[in-house]
Amino acid sequence: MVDMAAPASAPDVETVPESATDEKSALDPGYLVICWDDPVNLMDYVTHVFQIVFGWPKPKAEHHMLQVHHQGKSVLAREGLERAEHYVHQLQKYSLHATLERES
Amino acid sequence: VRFLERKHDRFVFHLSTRDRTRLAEVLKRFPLLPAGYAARPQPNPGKTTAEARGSDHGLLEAALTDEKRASQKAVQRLLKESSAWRATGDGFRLELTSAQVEWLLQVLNEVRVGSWRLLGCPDPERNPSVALTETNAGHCWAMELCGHFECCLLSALDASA
Repeated sequence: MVDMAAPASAPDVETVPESATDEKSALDPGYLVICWDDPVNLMDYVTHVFQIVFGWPKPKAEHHMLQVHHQGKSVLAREGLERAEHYVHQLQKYSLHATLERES
Repeated sequence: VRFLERKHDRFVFHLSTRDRTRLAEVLKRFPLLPAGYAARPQPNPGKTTAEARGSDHGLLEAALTDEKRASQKAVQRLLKESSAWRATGDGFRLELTSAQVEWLLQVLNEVRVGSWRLLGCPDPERNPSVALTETNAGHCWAMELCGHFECCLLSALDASA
């Protein structure tokens, strides 16, 4: 068990401020925005949402919509944490089933 | 519901009296989805997902709840205030900004998905029949009607693109 009241002479370890670590992970591109299929959202609606949220042209939005429909899911974006969270939030506002996944 | 025209940033629709009543009926149901619904986990959990990041997930859920509260007030305003509505001989003209069209799409789809959930999340490809009862018939009606209104709004956006 670690004794929290340790002696004052701490080992000489270089520490990284917490905020810097957070900033790094937030900027590290490696989070996947995934949209999952469900039997309720209309295909035209899903296409429209992709166009609005990602600013995609209709053919690209339709491609991802069809991927969701036929394959059960589509990876819509690979971004840093904050941007990926923003996208998930936007998709959820439209009641789409969207999640965030750390890229392996 | 009929899309009439787009005047700069404003979309103009014609609704019969019955259309307006039906739109009001479905909008009054908003919100239907529980707070945590949007943050439900992925179907095949495995890797690190948003729900593993507890605090951020809570913030996201809180933000969605706040937005729904604001939307609920906006729904009440749309139904009560007459500025967007103008009576015509055979119904009403409804004028919405493009931002209001987007917002209305979100609200209608929330009611659609919420009604579907209350029906037990039926999947037409796996189990096409839903046993309609006095209790769930209203959910089925709302789900279909929201889909109809969504299609009208999407057609208007498409036509004016």
